[in-house]
Amino acid sequence: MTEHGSSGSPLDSSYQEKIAQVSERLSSSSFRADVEFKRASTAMARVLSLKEFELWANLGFELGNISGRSWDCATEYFKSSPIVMEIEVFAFLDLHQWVGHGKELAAISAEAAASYFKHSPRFINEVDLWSLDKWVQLGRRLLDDHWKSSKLTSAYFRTSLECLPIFGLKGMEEWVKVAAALSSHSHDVGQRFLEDSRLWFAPLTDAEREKVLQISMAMAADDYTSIPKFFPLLELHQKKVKTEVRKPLYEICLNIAAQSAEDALAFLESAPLVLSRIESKDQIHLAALGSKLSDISWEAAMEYVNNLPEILATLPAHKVPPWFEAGMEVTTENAHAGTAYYAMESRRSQEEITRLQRTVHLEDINRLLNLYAEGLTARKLKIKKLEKESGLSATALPTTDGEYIQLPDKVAEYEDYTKNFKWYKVATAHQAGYYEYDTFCFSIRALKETGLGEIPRGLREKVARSERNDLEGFFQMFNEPSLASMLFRLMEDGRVDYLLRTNYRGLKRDMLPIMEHAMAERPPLRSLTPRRAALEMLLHITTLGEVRENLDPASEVFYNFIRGEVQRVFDADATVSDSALAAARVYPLIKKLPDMKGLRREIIEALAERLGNYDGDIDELLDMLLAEAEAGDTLEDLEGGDPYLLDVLEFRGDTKPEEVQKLMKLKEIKDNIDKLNEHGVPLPLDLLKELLKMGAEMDIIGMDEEDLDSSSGLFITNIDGLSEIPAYKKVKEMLEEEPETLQQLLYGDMGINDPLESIYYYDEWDHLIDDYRSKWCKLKELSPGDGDTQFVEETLKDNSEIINVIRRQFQLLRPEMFRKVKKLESGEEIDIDSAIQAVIDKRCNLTPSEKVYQRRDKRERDVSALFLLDVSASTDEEVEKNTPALPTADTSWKDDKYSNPGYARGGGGPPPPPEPSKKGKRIIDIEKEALILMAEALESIGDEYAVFGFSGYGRDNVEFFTIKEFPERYSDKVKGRIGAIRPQRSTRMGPAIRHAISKLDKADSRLKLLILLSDGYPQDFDYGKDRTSKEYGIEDTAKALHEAREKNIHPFLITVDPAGNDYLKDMCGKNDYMVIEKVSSLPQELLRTYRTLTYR
Amino acid sequence: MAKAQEQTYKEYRIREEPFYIAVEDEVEIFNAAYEARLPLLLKGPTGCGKTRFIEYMAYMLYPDEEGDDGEAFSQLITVACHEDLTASDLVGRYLLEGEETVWIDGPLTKAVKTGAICYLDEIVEARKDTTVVIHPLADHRRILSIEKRNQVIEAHPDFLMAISYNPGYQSVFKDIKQSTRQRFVSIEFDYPPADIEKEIISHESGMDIEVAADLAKLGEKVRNLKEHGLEEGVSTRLLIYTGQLIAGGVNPLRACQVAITNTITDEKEVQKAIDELVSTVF
Ligand SMILES: Nc1ncnc2c1ncn2[C@@H]1O[C@H](COP(=O)(O)OP(=O)(O)O)[C@@H](O)[C@H]1O
Ligand SMILES: [Mg+2]
Repeated sequence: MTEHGSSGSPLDSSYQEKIAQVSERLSSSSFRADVEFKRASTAMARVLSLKEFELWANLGFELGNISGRSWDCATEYFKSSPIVMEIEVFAFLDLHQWVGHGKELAAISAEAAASYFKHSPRFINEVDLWSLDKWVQLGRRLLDDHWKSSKLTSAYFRTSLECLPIFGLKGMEEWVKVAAALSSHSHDVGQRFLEDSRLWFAPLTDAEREKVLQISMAMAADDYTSIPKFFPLLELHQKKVKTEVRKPLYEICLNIAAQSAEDALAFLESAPLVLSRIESKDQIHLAALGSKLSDISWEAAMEYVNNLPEILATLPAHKVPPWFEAGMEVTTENAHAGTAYYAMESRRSQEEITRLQRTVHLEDINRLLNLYAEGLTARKLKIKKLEKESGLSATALPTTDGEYIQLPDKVAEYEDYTKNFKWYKVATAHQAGYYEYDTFCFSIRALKETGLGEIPRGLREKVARSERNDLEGFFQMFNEPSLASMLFRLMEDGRVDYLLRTNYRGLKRDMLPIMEHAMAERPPLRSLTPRRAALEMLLHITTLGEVRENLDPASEVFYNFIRGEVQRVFDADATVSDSALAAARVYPLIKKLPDMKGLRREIIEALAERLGNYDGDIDELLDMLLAEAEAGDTLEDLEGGDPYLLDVLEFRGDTKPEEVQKLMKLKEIKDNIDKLNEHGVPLPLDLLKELLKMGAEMDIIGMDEEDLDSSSGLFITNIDGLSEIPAYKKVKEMLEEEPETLQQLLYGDMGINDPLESIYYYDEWDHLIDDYRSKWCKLKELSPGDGDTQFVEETLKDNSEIINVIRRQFQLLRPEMFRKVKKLESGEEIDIDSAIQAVIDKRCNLTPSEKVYQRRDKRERDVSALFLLDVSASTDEEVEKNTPALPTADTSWKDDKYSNPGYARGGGGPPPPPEPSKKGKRIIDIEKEALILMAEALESIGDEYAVFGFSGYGRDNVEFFTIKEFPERYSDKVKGRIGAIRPQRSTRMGPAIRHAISKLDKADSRLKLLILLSDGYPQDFDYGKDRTSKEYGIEDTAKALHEAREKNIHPFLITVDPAGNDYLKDMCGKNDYMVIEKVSSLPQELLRTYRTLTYR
Repeated sequence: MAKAQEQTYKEYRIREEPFYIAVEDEVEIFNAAYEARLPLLLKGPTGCGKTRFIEYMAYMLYPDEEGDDGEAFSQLITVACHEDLTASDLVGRYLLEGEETVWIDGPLTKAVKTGAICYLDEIVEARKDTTVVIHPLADHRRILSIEKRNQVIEAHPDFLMAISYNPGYQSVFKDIKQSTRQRFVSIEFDYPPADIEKEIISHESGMDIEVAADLAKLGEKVRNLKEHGLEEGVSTRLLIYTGQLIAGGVNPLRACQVAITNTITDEKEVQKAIDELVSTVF
């Protein structure tokens, strides 16, 4: 652009002539055009050459002459020209393009063209010149030969500028489509849509906007009159429905709208009401199911959502998904059937509900059973889901491993919930019974004492000479260890159940029906081979105490013998040794019995005859039988397969006692190691050796005893898997590596090479396993760095007035809060009791005490407050001055506040919504300000306080910033540290709270407060397996807060997270938190909270 | 004021032998300590038998004597300590009676003079200045100074000081100071083992021994849950109450619920677990 003169100097005469000329011509056509031309001409003359000027003026005439009404359009043209020329990217050459669009429009509608000229400069300025065509084309879609369409198009040019930041140029196409669809029915409705769009769409998220446009389109196609009703409903949803829930809701709505606009409206109208009856934590998940369903059948989805409150009245939320899935199958087959299903009208639906109602899920009763097992056994036994789960079947039987009792994840075997629950209870009691009645304490030594003489001879000698002392060693003494093991387990199960029944009459009541139920489906003895029949008899006797079937004479003999032996364990004083003894005594007979059918009866009868008619010492006969059996004098097993397979009973489960014994031994060793490590003692050689002995075949490769000299010993930390996989493997692996490497690794793990930093380990609560993860988090105490006192000073200066008020408020509070100290020599008031005493003393001619005053003593306030500051990355978020700030906790992970593709592209790009001239305050700044004001107040009142910040990244890296310790004075150094606080990384609250607890625990005040300032829910990239789930972090934090309460510490959480209400009630308990809507009010709120908390 | 004083301590003649079953060697220890007039500290959770024990010992030591002055004599004077208990509550004070002033001995003074056992229950609850009076009584000096009257009383040769303390729910600042603690012989109490506890329950509640045994068993199981939100396990006292309810015709499950489950915890899940233990035992 060329300058033809500076703005102040008069125009060249040639221009003036031209202006006069044009003006004269114009005034005869349009007065207003003339006025605008003259107004614009000076500015134009300065930037255009005379020739260009002339051309510019002529274009105006061309416009005006297009139609009778087009002078309006020319007027706007003149008016906008100087503005458009001002735009940097706009050159004179672009004038043609600009005017070209206008001419085309004017040929159809002068009004639209006028609007175009009026608004296009802003468009060019804010987007770019190249997009102008697209913008105009969109407008032209709205223009037809109806006169009302002119108005509509004008409205488009106007409103589209407002909506551009919302939709972006790309998104506008959909928007215009909706307007076009509407105006094909009614221009008025279309126009209203355009005019109200900014209001309606601005609050929506990107995804929502897209969905809403789609819904609008679908509605417009069906019934345009629904649109004006549609948007007010959205406004209602903004207020009443959570963002995450709106998404699936609108997905459903879209599917409905595609069929019926009327139903879609009805759906949207009822949704908030329905949702208000559903607990907020369930809403998202349940709504998402509805969205899935709506893809198959919109009618079924509508029924589903509308009936949700009814379903939830019959089923707990976590049982809805299985019911839902069954319905999906129905719906896929037949949409009508699906609709009836979700309306809870079909029988299938009802049946499914009843089935689910009676189902007991382990996760619902996990903690209950945990406590139950711990109560029974006094051990830290925990319950968990069976690792290989497959419903309740023979493959998923209860078991235990020394640390856990594993149970199936759900039970629906019985017709009602209570009975299924009782099954769990009895199964738990049975597994717990192994611990209660010392199954795993079996030792060969004890067995010898119990009855060495009663063990059949061949075996007796082995037992007497045995070097091993465990169950496995015992089984190994038999020729057929697996048979011995099975017999032992049957006897032991019998003993445990017997003891449970006799010791707990309540449990007996529950156990008997379960036993009956389990035994009802056993195979008839006749159908089994003699050996299996004998085993089956043993099972019957250990459960019901008898066999109810009629027996043939031979079986009768065996039965009587076996039953006699079982009596040994049916005794209140029976021990695990008795079970082993009984097993050893029935072994010879059962081993002798053939495992095949159709054998000549004589053989069996002969054996029965020997047993039944034996008139000598039965023990001698057993010795003989054992000798024969072990010598192989049995009838060969003709049937293949595992001869001893006996279906075990579900409630008794499938526990391998010899394995448990080993695991428990390992656990003991591990605990010893842990203890040593805790005290910084290297692993003694003996212990290591014992560890290695657990894996009998293992030797220490590449390491001789000198290397393992106990003085230079090893720290072993990370052998957590010990109880799960055979631990020795892992240890072996570790030892097979170079010893130095191992040592280094171990020392490194301990973090003991870093004596300068203070490192602490904390357990973390994992709600999924209902237990702590031991020493899970590593916390480092750090300094936030040294800063200067400037920030503090500035804050004090900016707030000098408020500070005076605060001081006054706190001092005003003081007298009431302080405790009276009586019997003082001087004080504010007279202590009546002492005074009376003094009077009495005087009467008695005693020297009355002078201590007749009382005072409210400052020290008696006795408060210690610890302030814990969330300094996570999200606190970097700026807080807008007047509008409530909406920081979300995860802004540190993704920041999509202004990302709007269509909008951001193009020359220069438009600026985002108004930005404060100076960089606004961030959450952290406000937190700091709050702290500073708090410190002022605390100093004036004399309470003990400490201040810390926390952040970190990952469980190995929890950072704890020391700003002020309790005994520390509020010095310049502390003030400097406050200044130095800056946003860091994640928000792992649990360990930080635990560390704060350890600090507060040392204080000895009557009232201990832990005040946490935060801006979002607890989170860290590894805070729980599922990173998207907030639950783990919330549960851990809740636990940590609970630990605080147990230590007599009162925790209180103040958050500026507007979503706080969703989770804080569960996390902190209903009275111990506060959500601050306006971040800037944090300082006042903190002070107020502190006052109320300490005012007791 | 006189009224308040009466409520703070208990003084009566124990005429019959209190029922007490020794759990360990506490009786021998007490006797030996008494011989040497060593003050005693009974440590243990609430309701485990400390008070009963001291009553029993008091009776055994002074079976049915008269006091020195020939009047009925209280072997045991018990003071339940609380936050507002001051030294003069223990020692005594002057009171106005018309125009006269009368000195009234406090419970401690009474015990010191008559040679009774003075048992300060839950000593940590008392105000700190009370320790000042106790200290000279609890060491070789065995004296009580009454400042008001300018008197120093030497304790009666039979006088014995005993205090109790529950280490369970005390917070750090409510601990007994070492200077106090180190003047006493400490006997630790805990809930009696099941086979003794069942006898106690049976005797006290009048229930037959089977039900009593079940209650003792239940007590044991519930105490196993101590770390889970229970401040303390269920006390022998509560088990006795339960027995009394059952004896009164209440269904055992319900009796346990009202006397045990609901009493010892507010946490729903733990309550449920206790209920399951109850329905296991009964
Ligand atoms: N060893 C015991 N012998 C007899 N009764 C006992 C015994 N232990 C506890 N009790 C019973 O328990 C009840 C509560 O004991 P108590 O002495 O009041 O408890 P504490 O003083 O420890 O709080 C007593 O009333 C008594 O019935
Ligand atoms: Mg008591």
